[in-house]
Amino acid sequence: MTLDRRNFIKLLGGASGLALAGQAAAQGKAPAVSAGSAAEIMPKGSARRVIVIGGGYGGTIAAKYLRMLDKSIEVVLIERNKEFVSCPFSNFYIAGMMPDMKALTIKYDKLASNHGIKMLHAEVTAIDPAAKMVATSQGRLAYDRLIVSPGIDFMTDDIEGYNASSAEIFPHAWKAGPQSALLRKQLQAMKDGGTMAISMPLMPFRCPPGPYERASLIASYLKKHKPKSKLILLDANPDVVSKKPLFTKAWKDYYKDNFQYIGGQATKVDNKTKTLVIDNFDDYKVDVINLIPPQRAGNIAVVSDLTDDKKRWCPVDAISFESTRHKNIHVLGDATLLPSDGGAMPKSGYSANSQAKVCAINIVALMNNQQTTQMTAINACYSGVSETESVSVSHVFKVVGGRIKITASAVSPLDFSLGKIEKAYGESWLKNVLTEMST
Amino acid sequence: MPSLASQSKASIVDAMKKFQSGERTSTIMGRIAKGYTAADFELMGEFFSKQKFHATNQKLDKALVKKGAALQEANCSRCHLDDGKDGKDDTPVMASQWLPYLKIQMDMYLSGARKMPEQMAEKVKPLSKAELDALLHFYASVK
Repeated sequence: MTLDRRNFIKLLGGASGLALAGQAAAQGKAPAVSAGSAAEIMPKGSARRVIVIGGGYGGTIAAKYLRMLDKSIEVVLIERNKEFVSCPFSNFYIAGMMPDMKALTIKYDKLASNHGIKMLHAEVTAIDPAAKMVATSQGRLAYDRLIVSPGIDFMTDDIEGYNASSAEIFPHAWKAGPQSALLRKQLQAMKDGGTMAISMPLMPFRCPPGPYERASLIASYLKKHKPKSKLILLDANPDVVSKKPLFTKAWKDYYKDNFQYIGGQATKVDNKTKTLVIDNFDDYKVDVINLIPPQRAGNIAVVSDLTDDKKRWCPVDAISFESTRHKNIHVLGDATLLPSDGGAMPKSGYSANSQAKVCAINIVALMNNQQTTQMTAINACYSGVSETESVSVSHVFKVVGGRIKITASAVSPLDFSLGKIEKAYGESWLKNVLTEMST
Repeated sequence: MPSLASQSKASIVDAMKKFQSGERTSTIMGRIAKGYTAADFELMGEFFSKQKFHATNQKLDKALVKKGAALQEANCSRCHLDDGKDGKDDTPVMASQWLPYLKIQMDMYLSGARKMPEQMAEKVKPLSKAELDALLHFYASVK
């Protein structure tokens, strides 16, 4: 595809008449209320209590393993949603390769009843580390230890014009659910001959291979269903940051006629004219714009002073995942900043799952005055490069001298010879991990 | 992916060593195994061998399951004890494994990507593709 970036302006097409999904905008900040102001609920009895905030890849597993390891510890899992929708594999749904989000969605009832976890569907508004209290939309609760697994929120201050309604015009679809449905709808409504752009942020962000997988799968969808259409990936990073040889091979072999990879960072949006500006210079007024903004730890971690000086990620101890800022509070998953040598743990669902198990083991050890265990953990990420083939990257991590070190890491063979098997294993991974989280 | 619960320690240690050396073809397991030591493999084997057998619920063709049951009895039951539920020495637990996993592994055996033990090769070679498929259906059905 030959596309002159400097002169690329295209009138908005099919996206204009879309009904927008009614998800609250990603920007909503938790109000900074004092944890002491609301009435106390679920008063703590004599049993020791761990509260887990966030029922995603990290929080569900931490809650479950705490109960599996020590039944004398009471566990309360606080989650605002009744269902969890997995980000991993949601790109297949967006690209029309999954009929609906059923295979991505889990509920919490079986997890809670199987393990005696107390489920509280509420929004956490504040944490008081001194009083060991958590304030929620339902009231405040006391804890002995707290696990915060809040995922990510977006940093949009550097994108001029981005406001509460921008995500409904330029969906990020970087939290699965209504946003994924919106992006899919926009893509399907796009006329053949239309153009879509994906704008992705600078590292670090949730799921480093995710934008490249999304680009590959959407390019595959367009090739099959809208052969006159084009896709552009605008990468704020100087180069492809994950599985580069594998993705670039897919783009060259499969999508050279309808896909282009370009550098550039989103600097401005105009909700009214539906325009995206890249590097303060180029206007993209294409049919569908998937704007994935820069990211930081979930809001509750930021308002609770768990983030570093840049107010971005939460520094934690590499053994217990205890916050280095506040005692008795542990942080898991995408939100963490772990001390590491030679490569950080990717912000992935698999990493959060691995971390949650180590964190649970060490919290139980700490609460029972036993020795903590140094982590060994795994990460494996599958990415689709076409409707039928996937590739993977895997890592093994160990803690050496209090810092995380990669002891093995490798990617799939470049000839895609395992592509079809890895597609099957990827689907199997999703089924297994969601079963683990929900039973 | 196979279920590891109740697999014998020997079969797990053997599989991990073969993944690590590259003798056994794999997707991610060979890459992951390189991050661990032989002592780690022993601990893993110890742990998984102590877990309770995990039964799966799969939608399977009943006629194929029946045909497979007879084939298992006649050909495989001397090593794959108790309908594949009992993992003896380095013989893996076959019962209740996911059918797609069993098929992928059988394809690897047939293509030579994964090496069959001699006794297994003797039994597998005379069987047709359809018979092998029935056999795998049977193992997937065992609870």
